Amino acid sequence: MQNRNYIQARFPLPGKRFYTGFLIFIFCFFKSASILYGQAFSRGEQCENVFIHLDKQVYVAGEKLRYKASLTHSFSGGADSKILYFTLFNIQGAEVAHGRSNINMNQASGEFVIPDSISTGSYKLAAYSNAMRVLPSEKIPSTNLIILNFSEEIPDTLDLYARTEIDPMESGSDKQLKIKLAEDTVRKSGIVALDILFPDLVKNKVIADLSVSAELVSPFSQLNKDLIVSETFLSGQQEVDIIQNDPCRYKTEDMGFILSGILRKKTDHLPIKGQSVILARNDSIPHLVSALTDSSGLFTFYLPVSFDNKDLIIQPLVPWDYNDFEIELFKKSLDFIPGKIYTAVLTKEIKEYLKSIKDMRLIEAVYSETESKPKSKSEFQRPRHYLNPEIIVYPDEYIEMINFRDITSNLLPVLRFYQRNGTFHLEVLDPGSSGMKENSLILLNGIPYSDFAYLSLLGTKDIQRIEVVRSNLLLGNSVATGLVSVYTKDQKVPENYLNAKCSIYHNNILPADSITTGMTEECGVHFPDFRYNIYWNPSVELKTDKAVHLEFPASLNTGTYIIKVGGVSSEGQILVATATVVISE
Amino acid sequence: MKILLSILACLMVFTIAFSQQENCDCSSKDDFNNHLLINLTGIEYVNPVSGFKGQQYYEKWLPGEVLLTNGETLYNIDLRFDLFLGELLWNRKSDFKTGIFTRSDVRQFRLYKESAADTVIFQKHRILLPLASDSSDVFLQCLVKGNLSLYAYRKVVKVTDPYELIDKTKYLIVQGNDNYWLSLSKASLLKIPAINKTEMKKVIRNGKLALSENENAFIKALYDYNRLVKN
Repeated sequence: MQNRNYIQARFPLPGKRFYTGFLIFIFCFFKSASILYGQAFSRGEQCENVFIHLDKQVYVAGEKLRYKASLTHSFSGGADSKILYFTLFNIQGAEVAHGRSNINMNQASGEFVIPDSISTGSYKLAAYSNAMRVLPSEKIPSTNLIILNFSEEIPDTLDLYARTEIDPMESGSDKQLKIKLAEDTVRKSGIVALDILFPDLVKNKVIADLSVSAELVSPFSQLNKDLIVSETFLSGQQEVDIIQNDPCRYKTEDMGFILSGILRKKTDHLPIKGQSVILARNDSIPHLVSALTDSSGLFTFYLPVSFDNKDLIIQPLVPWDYNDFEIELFKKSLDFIPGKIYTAVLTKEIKEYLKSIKDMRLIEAVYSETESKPKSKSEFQRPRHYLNPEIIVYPDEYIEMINFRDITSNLLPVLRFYQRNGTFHLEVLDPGSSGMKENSLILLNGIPYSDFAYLSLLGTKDIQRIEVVRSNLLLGNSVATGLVSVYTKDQKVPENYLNAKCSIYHNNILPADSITTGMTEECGVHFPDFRYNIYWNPSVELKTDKAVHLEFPASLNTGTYIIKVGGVSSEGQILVATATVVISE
Repeated sequence: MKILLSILACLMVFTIAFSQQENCDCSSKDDFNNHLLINLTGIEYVNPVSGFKGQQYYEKWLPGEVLLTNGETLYNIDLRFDLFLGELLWNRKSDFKTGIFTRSDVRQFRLYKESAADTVIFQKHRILLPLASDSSDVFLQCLVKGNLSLYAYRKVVKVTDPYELIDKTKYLIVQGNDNYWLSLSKASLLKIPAINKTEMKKVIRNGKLALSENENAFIKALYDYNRLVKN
C-alpha cells in the first residue's frame, strides 16, 4: 500500500478526462482507418483480371491469332467466370471483331481468326469477362496489335496507341521464372532447346500452366518507348474505381453463358412484360429454354455448352397472327474510348520487316496443308427435361400421303388437323377428358412453329417423323395443351418464318487451340519454313519438382528470336520470363 | 471504464469487419436457380384418384431441393410426393399449377420439415419389385444410411370397393449391391442374411425395441446395429 502510494506520488496518473479523450481519439483513428480500408474494398480493387499471352506481335488479316488467357482473382472466394470475351477495336475505337471462349479451370486457349477485310493499321484487342464490363474501358485488359492487309501497301506512317500499361516483362517479374537455353545460337533448321525453371519451386510449391512463344524480334523497339506498338503480354492488374452504385451491374457468368435481351413492341417500343420467350435450336430432338420478361421487357437465358456453336432461335410464345414485337439481344460489347494516339514514322527497317511478314504469310498460306483438326468429341447431352413422346409415327413406313391432313387422319387418330374459315387448326385428344383440345405448341425440327399453312403442305416425302405428347405441359411460365413435334427430312425451318417471327443468335465460340501447323521435328518437311513465329505452345505445365524441357525446330529465317514464357501460378501469381536466341547461317 | 473499453473495442472490430464487404461476389447462382425453376418442364398433374379416401401423398407441400441427374440442383422449390403414382410433383409458384417431374431427370430430392433434423430424403433406385417381373426406377425414402441402409418404398394402391387408397409400403435393406425386402417384424429382420443375428438380438434387447409394425423402432434398431458393427 505504501509502495503504491509512493508510485502514485512519483508518477501521477492522468485523470478521467484524459482517458476519455484518449479513448475517443483511438476510436476515431480506427474508425477512419477502417473507413479508408473499407472504401478500398467497396471501391473495389478489380475482382477478376485477365492475363493473356499472344503468339506474336504482328498479324496479317485472315491469319489466326493464338492466345492463352488466365483468369485471376484479387481476392479468394467470389465466383469464377466461365466465359471470356475478346473484342478487336481499330484506331478509331470501332469494334471490328468479337468472339468468346469458354474458360475451364480459369484457363482458356484458342484461336481468333482476324477478318480478311481488316485494313492495315494498329488495333487493340480487349479481353474481359462479363463482370469486368463494369470497368471503365481504359481499364479493361487489352493489348495493341499491328495488322497488315495483303492488298495494301505498307504505309509510311502509322497511328499507334500510346502506352497505358506497364509491360509485365519489364517489371522484373522474371525473377521468378528462368529460361535456360541449351545454346544461345542455333543454326537455321536446327533445334532450339530450353529448360524452364522456377527456382523457388520447392519452397513455394506452386504449379503453373504456362504458355510459350518464340518469334523474331521486331524492330519496333526502336520507336519511342512511350509508344506501345504491341505487347504479347498484357495484364489489367491495377486498382480501379469500380462504379460504386452497381458493382454487379453485369453478373459473373459462373453458371454458364448468359444470353439476355429485351422484348418490346415494334410500334411504340414499349416493353412487353410477363411474356414467355422461348429459345430453341434446329435439331432432331427438342432443346427448349424458357425465360420470362420482367417489367422492363428484359429476359435472360442461361445456356449450357450444348448450345455452343449453334444458331439459336429466340421468339416469344405469341399467337401466329401477332407480329407487333421486336427482340433486341445484348451483345456484351464494350464502349471503347481510344486513348492517346501517336503518329509514328516507319523507318526503312520497320517497313522491310512488315513487308517480310506479309511475304512469309503468303508463303504459309500457299504451302500449308489444310489443317485436319481433330473434331472435339461432342458427347450427346440429353436435353434438360426432355419429355418422352407418347406416340411416334414414321410416315415413310406407310403408303404415301400428300399432305399433313392425310397423315394425321390416317396415322394419328389422336390428332385432328383441319381448316375452317381460312384458318388452320390442330387439335389433340385430351387423355383426361377424352375430348379434343386445341393444340398450342408445335415444333418444327425443334423450333416452335406456328405457320400451319406451310405445315399443311408437308407430306410423306417431306416428313421423317411426328411425335405427340397429349397431356398438358408446364413449359416456362405457360401451359402447352399438348406437344406435336414434326421433323422433316431436310431438317430445315423456312427462312421467311425465322426472319419474321424470330431473332437468331449465332452462338459461336472460338475454337480451342491446337499446336502450330508445321511443328514437326524436321524442319521444312511440309513447306519452305520461313516462319518468323517458330513456336507456340499454350499449355506447358510446370510442377513442383522438376524443370520443363522444350525443343522446337528453328526456321530458315536468320535473326534474333525472343522466347517468351508466361502464365499464372496456382496461387494467382503472374509468372513471366524472356530469353533470346540467335538463329544463324 | 472496463465496460466502456469493451464497447469501444467491439465497435472497432464490427466496423472493420463490416467494411470488409464482398464486392467480388456477383455470382449469378441465385438467378440461375430461378432460371432452372422457370425451365422446369413436365406433364401437368391431374389427380388420377380424386375422391378416393386414404393418404395419397407423403405429407403436405413442403419446401425442398431436387438433385437432377445432370448434376444441377434445384433449390427453393415446393415439392410433394404422390404415393399412388410414385412421382415427384412440383408447385409452380406463378400460377400454382402442379407439374410432374420426369422421373429419369431426378436423382434425389429432399423435403424440409419444420426442424432441420426432420429432413426427409428420397433417392431413386433401380429395384426388382417383389411382385413384378421387371425392375424399375423408384423413389425410396432413406431411413437409415450406413453399413446396412434401410429404405421405405412408400406406395398406396387403390381399391374400388370402397374407393379407398390402401397403404402398401414395403421396406428394403441394402448392403452394397444386395437388396433384401422385409416386413416390419423381428422374424423378418433376423432372416436377413447380411445381419448378424446375435448382434441384432442384443440391439433389440438393449433398446427394448418392439419391432412389430413399428417403423421408428426399426430405424433405431438398424441405426444402433450399424454403430455396434462399426465399433
